[in-house]
Amino acid sequence: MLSFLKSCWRTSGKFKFGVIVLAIFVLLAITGPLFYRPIIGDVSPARPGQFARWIPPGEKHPLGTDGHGRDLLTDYLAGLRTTLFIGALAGVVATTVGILVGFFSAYNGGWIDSVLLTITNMLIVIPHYPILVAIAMVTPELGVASMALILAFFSWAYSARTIRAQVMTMKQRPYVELAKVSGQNDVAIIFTEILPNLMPYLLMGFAFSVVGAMVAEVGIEALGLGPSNIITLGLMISFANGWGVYSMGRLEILLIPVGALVLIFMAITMINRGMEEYLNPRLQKVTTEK
Amino acid sequence: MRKLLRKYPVLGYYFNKVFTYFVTIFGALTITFFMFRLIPSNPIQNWVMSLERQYSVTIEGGDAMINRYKEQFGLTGTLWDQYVGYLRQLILKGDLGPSFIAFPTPVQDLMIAAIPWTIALLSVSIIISWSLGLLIGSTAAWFRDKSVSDIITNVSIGLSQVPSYLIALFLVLFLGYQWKLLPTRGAFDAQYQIGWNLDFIRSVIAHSFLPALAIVMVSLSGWILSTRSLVISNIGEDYLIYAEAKGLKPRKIMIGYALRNAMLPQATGLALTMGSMVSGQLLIESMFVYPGLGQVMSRAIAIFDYNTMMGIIILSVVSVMTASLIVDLLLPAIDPRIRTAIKA
Repeated sequence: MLSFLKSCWRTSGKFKFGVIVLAIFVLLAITGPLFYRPIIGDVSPARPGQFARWIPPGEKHPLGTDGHGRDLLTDYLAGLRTTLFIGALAGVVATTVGILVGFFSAYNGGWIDSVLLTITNMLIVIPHYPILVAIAMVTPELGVASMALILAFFSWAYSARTIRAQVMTMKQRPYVELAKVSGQNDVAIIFTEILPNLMPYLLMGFAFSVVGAMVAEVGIEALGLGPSNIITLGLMISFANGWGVYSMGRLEILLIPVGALVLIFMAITMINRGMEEYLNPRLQKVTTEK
Repeated sequence: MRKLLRKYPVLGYYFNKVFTYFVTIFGALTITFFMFRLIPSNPIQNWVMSLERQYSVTIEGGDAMINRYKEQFGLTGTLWDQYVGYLRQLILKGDLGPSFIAFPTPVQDLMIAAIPWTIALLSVSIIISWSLGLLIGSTAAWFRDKSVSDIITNVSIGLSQVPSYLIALFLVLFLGYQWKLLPTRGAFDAQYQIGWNLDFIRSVIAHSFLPALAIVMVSLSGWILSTRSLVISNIGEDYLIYAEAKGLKPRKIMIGYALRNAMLPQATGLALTMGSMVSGQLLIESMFVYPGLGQVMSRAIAIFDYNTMMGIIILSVVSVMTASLIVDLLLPAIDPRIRTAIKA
């Protein structure tokens, strides 16, 4: 696993670029409180009316304050934190459920496989966005964790389907057959033979779920339909639109969260593509050429 | 039956696909129905209940009125009765119930009014991005050693996962507000007569430009990437080397051989994308206040009008599934490899 990541880092410029950009954002999210605690003290970053509204950028407030009397730098750092956290948590849950369902389905085969595949397809074919918004709307005090769980509920089906397909092909590989013939039980085969070889694909699936969850989360928040008690980058976009930052001549208030999100999405996609190209060199170059 | 199947194995494949089609649609409908009914807050029920409180004491015949509303919205009886009632109404009469955003207009009428806008906007942007993607993607594959090709590929990879509503935000800010080049709200200027006159058509095109551009910019990158990798994986094949040895012109090899082999998966992809048209860009439509299904959907969501939400979700499920069914049914006729796979 580690050697796989190392080779990707060595061979792929895209992978390297993505990792560096993403690492910067993750670092900013983790160390965020170090920057904003001295400014706002010990209150919740989401609390309105901490300061006067629309203080211009200055010594005390590097980016100024927003229309709700909050420090803007704090808004962004806290928003980045929750957005990344929701994405990561939803990604972990979706991938875990996807692994369980995918493995169970592919390894059992037969009617269990058909039934699970049909249910998975049903969930994939339902448009998620309206239902997510509906759930977010009727539960206004939605917490970070429950938001992530709702997003995961809809995205596990994708990872289950791709993992199932991967396990199906891996089941027929010679080394799995060999392990079976030599009398290893199924659980041991899954953990010692299939899972390690599947790791890169799981990682790619995980990144895909994270992006999916973040896109959905930002989509809900940016239209102002999500919970407003937790600050996310999506909520900042919605606020910026509501404040009319354009006519105020403070365009950067909108461009910072949009730009950060675009960069994060690009970084994760670059990482994924780098891994994919390493696993499947044909994506990059023609194999028969010198 | 068995004899028939042995003689024409493709019949079994067809049967399987059609069966899965109906099961999946039915299942998705059921999941959505119960999900909406189980969400604790239900504005229609709340509204009917507030009527109940207001009128049952004060107005004679208030009860009858409330019961009529309940019946109209399908809120009488147990959850199971409601479900069966909904299905009966939908399948026998094609009726999706009254909407709440424009009560008592039936949901299907609201949808029929909105569908042409969605189809016009989406189908044009999908076809534009598909053809451009095929063109740019295969060119990028053909000139894979040039740095321009690398730039195109990297930009496409970067853009491919960025949601189109973020791109739309940029476009609205710069093309719409900053430089005031294009309108950002609605589908046409209200001052023009709706119909086949030049002013109206020009206004419609100008209004659809920004939303279409946002959709094209993102989906184009996906088509470029998939075309490029399909064409590149063909380039190493023997038949291309043979074509080159025969002395065919490079352009002919690219269009007639490499691109042609990428066409089948790309045409399939186009069909599937057309199927997801209904639900694909709900956000874009509501951002640009475009009077399509996305706009109806966001109005419905705002007051939790679940009859309307169900209607749009069902339409979207049916169109996605129908597109993929058509592809599945046509593929054995087009692709000999699938015919062989079915026989085996």
